[in-house]
Amino acid sequence: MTTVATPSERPAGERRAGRLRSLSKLPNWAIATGVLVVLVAVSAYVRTRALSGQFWIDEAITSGISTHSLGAIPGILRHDGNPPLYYLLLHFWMRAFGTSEAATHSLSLLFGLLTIPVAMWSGWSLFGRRVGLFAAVMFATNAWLTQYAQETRMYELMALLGLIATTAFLHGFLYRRRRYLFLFAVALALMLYTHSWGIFFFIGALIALIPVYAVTEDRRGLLRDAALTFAAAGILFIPWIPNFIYQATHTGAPWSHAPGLGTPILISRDLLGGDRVTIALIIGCIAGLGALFTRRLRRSHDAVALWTLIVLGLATLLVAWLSSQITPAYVSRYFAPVLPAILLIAALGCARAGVVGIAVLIATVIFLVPHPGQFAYPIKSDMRNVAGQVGPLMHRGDLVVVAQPEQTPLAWYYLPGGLNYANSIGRVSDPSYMNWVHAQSRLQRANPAATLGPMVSSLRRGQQLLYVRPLTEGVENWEAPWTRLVRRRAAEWGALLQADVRHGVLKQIAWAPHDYQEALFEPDSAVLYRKVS
Amino acid sequence: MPAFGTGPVSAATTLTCGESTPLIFYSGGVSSSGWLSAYKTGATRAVAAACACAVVLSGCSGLSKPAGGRGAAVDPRTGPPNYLACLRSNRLTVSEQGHNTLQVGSLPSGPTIVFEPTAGIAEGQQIQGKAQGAEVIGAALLYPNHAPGAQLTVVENCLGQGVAEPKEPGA
Repeated sequence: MTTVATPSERPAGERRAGRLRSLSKLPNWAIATGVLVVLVAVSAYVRTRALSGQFWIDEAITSGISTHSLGAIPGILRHDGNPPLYYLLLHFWMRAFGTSEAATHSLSLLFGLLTIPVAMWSGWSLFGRRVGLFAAVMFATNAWLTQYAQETRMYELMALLGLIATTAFLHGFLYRRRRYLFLFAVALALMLYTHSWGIFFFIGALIALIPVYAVTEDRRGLLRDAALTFAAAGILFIPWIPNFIYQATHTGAPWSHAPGLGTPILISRDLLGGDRVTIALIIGCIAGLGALFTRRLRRSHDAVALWTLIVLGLATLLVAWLSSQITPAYVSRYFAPVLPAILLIAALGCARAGVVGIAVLIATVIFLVPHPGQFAYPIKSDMRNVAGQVGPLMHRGDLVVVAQPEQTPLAWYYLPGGLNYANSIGRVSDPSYMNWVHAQSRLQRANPAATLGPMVSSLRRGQQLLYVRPLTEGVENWEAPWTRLVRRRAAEWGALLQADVRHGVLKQIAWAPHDYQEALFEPDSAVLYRKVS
Repeated sequence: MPAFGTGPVSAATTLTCGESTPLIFYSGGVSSSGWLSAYKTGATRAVAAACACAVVLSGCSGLSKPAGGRGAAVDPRTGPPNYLACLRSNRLTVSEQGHNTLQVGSLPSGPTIVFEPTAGIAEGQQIQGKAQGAEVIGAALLYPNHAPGAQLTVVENCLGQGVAEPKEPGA
């Protein structure tokens, strides 16, 4: 007699297999939605551990610029060096949600969380469901995205746009789905309007056409489409070109060095989250992508897509690196445009690596998720603390002198209203932004005695002067031409103030911080003087 | 002086009297008759004599430590890193003043360098407004005075040797 086992009598392995089969029968939209809800929730938790962390220099400048009217922002940006899109968006965001650190960080968080569904769409539409799921996990847990989701800067938006542009590039040019060319042109133009590295991505994408050109059967059509698409992005950028030229010829990043050969370390440490994650991903990529380099598969769609992504990322970095030998602008927070290519390669590799890929994915999540604090540090500067201690002692009309000029907006953000501002270049009429136009030569020319003397003289007896200067920890941050001069000027101004104390003109009233906690970016100290004669 | 020389490594490998295990000679249970007995007595003596020599050679004879102690002061100016040598190798005239100060050239134009015990103390001096005229580079307070920029660059580069970078969060 034959018996049929009831479900409860089936072996456990068979029951699990049955459940997996029923899961696989779920419609794609249900799987996608379920996974996305979980990933976005986990990512939102991880990326809000330092949401109310204090600003550092760049964030204060960014929020300061965005407090101005829409019409004024492009003009102010001529002195800063960045394109306007993020500042305009932040302007509206701050009107809706306020100007606190948490409020402004939330805009970046939103862009960071949006990368998760977009990554799933990207991987899924390009390589299939499995790659889509892997990509979503990688974007949800990525260390770089976690860090900059809590920073009031444009990097997270740039990564989102970079992901859209990279995906549209592959669809439009490699798979010849021409409707994506429009999306690519718009995303590319928005990248140009978001950060100067949009130009490097523009050139990198042009170079990435080479592997596509090598395999396409319609080379003429590819060239025509490329010309039209890149020209469209360029035309959309035309309105900003006068400002761009002005910025390129008048501003720069004198605080930065020409880069060396440390890019792999920057990618491993800052983009991926450290050597453990990097090694895990490399193992996944070798296991999953090795076959694509064999004779049998090297002209397959996946192989050509892989090469295109590699060339896109490498070419963008190479162009940026070469450009930075002349005008340095090469720090890992600018790497947003290449992050999507790197993570898509990793997702493709791990998804093709079977059980090894799943192990790598689990390891990556374990390495990244439980320790979010190591990628987003709440004490980026100590100005909030400094201002909290000396701010209550200050009165309307007192003078704040900031030895490091670009810290002026940071002091302005945290100190009470009604104060006057100056820095080691001279008086500052609008402390909400930094005027980088010929900043190096202006600081070089500003004689400390001739600049400070009239400021102290203009104070009435009883009025106060707050001298804010950077704590020059370490050496690397103080080797660039700008920072070296800032450190020197800070001492020269300090010596003059000390002389005024000796001569009985000023009296030291207070100093801060009383409880200095190590800050991530160029912390400050402050001494408050009162004019006594 | 210990037989194996001075210095931390030699000292660590040398037994001193206070630290050594007592030597124990067992005499019970040995036959006391004939040539064997005489041989054993002689052998015991030889072993004892050898041990005594070893003890003497290993430094137990010198129970007193050097009159000046074994300490050796590190001059912050000569390090390591040797800032003084760095400055002089760059053709700067440098004089040592006090126990922690270097004067490059002469005042009022030459920069003055004061070495604090730790970088934290130097930083604390700045925070409290006690070193307003100084650049803080590691544990050094560099007072530029009226030195030309090129000279200051050389001094800053020398003082930058061996300065630890701020710890990155999570590191």
